[in-house]
Amino acid sequence: MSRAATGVAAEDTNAQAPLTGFARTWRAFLQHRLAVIAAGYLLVLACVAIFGQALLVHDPLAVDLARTFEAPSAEHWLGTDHLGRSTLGRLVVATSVAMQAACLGVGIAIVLGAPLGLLSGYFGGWWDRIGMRLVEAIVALPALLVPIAILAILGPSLTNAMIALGIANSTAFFRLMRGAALEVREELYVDAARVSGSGNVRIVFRHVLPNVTGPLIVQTTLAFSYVLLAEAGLSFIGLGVQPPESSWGVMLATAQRYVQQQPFLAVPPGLMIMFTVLAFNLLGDGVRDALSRAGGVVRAASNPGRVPGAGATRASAAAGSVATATVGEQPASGPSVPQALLSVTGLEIRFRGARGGELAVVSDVSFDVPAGRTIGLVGESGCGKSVTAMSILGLLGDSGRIAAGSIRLAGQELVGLPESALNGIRGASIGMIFQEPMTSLNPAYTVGNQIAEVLVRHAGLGRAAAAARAVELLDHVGIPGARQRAACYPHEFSGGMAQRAMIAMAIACEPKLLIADEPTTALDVTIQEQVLDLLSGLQEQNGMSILLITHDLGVVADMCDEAVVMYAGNVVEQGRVDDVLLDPRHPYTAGLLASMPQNLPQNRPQSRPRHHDRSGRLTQIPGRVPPAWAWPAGCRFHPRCPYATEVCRQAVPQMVAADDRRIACVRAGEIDPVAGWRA
Amino acid sequence: MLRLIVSRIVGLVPLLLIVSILTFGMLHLVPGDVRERILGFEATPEQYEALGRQLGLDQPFLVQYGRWLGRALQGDLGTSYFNSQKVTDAVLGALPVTLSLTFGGMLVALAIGVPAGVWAGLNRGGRVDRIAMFMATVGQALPNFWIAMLLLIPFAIWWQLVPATGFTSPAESIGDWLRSILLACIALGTSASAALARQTRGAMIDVLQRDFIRTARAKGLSRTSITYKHALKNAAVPVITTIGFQVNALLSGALIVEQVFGLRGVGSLVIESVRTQNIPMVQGVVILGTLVIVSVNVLVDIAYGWVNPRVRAS
Repeated sequence: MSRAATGVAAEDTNAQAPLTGFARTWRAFLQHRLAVIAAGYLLVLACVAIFGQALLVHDPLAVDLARTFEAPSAEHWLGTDHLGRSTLGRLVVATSVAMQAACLGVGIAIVLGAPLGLLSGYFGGWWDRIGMRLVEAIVALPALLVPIAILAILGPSLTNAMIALGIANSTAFFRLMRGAALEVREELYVDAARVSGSGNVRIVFRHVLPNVTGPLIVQTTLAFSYVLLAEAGLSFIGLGVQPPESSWGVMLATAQRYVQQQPFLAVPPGLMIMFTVLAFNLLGDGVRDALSRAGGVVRAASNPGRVPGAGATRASAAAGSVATATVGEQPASGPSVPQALLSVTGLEIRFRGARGGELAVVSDVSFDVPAGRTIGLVGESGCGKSVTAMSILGLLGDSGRIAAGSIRLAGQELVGLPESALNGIRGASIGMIFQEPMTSLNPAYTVGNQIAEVLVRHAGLGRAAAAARAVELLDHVGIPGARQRAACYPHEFSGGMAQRAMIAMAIACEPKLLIADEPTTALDVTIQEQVLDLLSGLQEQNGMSILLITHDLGVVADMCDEAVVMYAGNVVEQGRVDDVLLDPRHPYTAGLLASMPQNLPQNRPQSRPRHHDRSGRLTQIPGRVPPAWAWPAGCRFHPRCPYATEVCRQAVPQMVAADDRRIACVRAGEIDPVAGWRA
Repeated sequence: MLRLIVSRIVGLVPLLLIVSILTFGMLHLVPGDVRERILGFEATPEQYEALGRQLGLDQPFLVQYGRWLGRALQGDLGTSYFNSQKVTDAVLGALPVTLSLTFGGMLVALAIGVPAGVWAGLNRGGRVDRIAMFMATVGQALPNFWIAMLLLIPFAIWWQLVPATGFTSPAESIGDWLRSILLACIALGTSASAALARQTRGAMIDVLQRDFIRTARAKGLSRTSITYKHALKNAAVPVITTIGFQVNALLSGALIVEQVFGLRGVGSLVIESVRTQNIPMVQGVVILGTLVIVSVNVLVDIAYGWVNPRVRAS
């Protein structure tokens, strides 16, 4: 929504000058044009309610039986009713009644509900349980029957109607305050306040109340809407304001009775109710919006990938056994480079930013995935790996696009293909699996159904044949009792099983290329191993290529033939995996390697320790990948690089090919990129 | 699934007990002497005494409540103060009118609100979305009885396409029954559809951002399949919850909208009873109204289990 977009902008400008919470909220609120108009309208209405009657030309109670049911005229702007009374005059009186009544009703609701809810939530125990049961019972009743029952006890009148509505509506405040008190009670700083000896009253006033002020304001505006509508309804059916007193509901009841004689009588009071309730609703929306914005819940729209992961650098420690042991086992890729199945050249991906304009989040990325080989895209979170992978399938969403470059699959250009042609490739020639297998499966359908669906779509199988094939596939990826498991829902699967099911789905149509985006990151260490073995086994059987996206160099060492290291939307180093891992030439690659545990155990696959720390020392690349809008000039890695010099701050490094390696570092060759991380 | 239903129904017992205590307690909260209201001021002390015994007022509260509950469980909610009419008969007699409006209104609300919400959610930020949400915002501010009046004036009074007053039982004529409740249902439904559209839109937008939608797209499924198979069933989960709330709001709305069309349903009954403080009748309406809402909530839970396999299993 455009609102959200301007909100982000507002947040950013606000961030420059530190403002208090209230001032930030206020500024965010002022940007909400409709809410400001609504607030203005309500102020005018309040003035009419207070001073309006003094300005009236016609006495709202003056009966003139000679002039009944008049249409609007110069003298009576809104016409007259069945007793010849001025509709405008009665409307002004009604406004005053409605405002007073609403204030009374909402006031009772707050005074009754808020303190009880606060006590109930703050002290808990039996009183809380009884309170909650009562509230639940009241909420289970038909909404209008609560005030009606109370009116049956008290007798119909405006004051009683407001008491009834106040009691009925107090449950909302009770719940709100109870929830807030409960939450704040659990939070650390209240514990701290308690330890430091603050009394309960002090805690409530200092810590609980400031936190609920915002939601309380929003709830109050909602309560005004509710009370106004309900008061109008009750008065309409004769249980609220009693004639000859005037209220919007009473006026509508009159209009109803004389609808044959003068239908226009129904218009003014109805419009007044509508505008007033609308104003309260818009005001509430505005306040809610302003609060959530000022609260700093701003999602970076310019970073389409995952939120930059905290401590991703250290997480790459995950792996363990790099290089040394395993690299030797890799099939040596001979001098004859196999024909590339997938060829990405000069890829640039742009996303529309929150403030308009476009931002290149990936630029000048080129790599080949040869047939039957596995290529690893490596880097920390936020480097553009996943975006690159999604762009191959043409799945950048509405705000992203491929701005330049080419993606060829077996010679066919994918960039610019129409959606229908891409749909024929997705799931058929290219399969994809994701990081979170549990959320990547649809919770509402069985696993078998979701696998069969791909076969119906691409392999032209009938439903029954597809279902049978789905069971075979589940069996094939090593799920025991595949027939029964196919009828299970995703929530009945473990993470590892779910990832196997995802793999079954991805390979169902025997794709030439499998894109695996962090396929093991969300899984248990022991399961990771099994899933990787499954992928290698499948590759051996059907000869597919794999593009493996990971931040885990251990996985790269185990699985890949070549590594493409990305940093901040660029490729910084690429080459054969043993070359890159044993002899990193870019400081970033070296830094990633250095942040893995030293003294790695040589005997994979028995152990792939996490957070293993035999040497007792783990280097970290300082800081983290900046978001795309904050990428520095020159080499994007320079702020985190121990070798950075003045040159790095200015010159954009160009990709230089040497031997079978490609490195983008201005100082490549003149430095030992490993040594700097030991310091 | 069966276990889910049974456990939900068993879970209602304490709730219904609390409601019954509150409802029964009403009688004792009424200021003044109930007997005075029934007998008038000119009755003799002996008559007062006799009526007190007849109503059980000489017994302790808990005994009175126990007796009342025992009779209520057998379907006897007492007798009107002012004539010998049985409360249960009176309320059950009025209920068809009100239920016709409530569920008719719900159908209208679903027919308008769900497609509008889905459409708006799919075109988030687009013109369709803005128009639909503007209408929903305005719709939520309209009192439904006012919409009813605005419909009544042209359709029933000027053009006389439908009767302006009176209810025809569906047992007599389905066509006339529909005509007699049509405008009321539309009035109630438009009001409720606003909330439903907003909720559906929100649910749709939320679901379309989930990982499994990305999976569905990576599988090469068509837009139609992604929207109507993968997104809609998941979006239905929060929408169904809203439907539960809306039935409650519609039932309340029906009590008032009945008055616009001169339909003598529960609304007329309870209004009359409140005016005369005919407490047993009000109690009957509250109890039976609660039963209706509670049954709807059980149905909602069953539907919830249908779209959400996780609920079904547990």
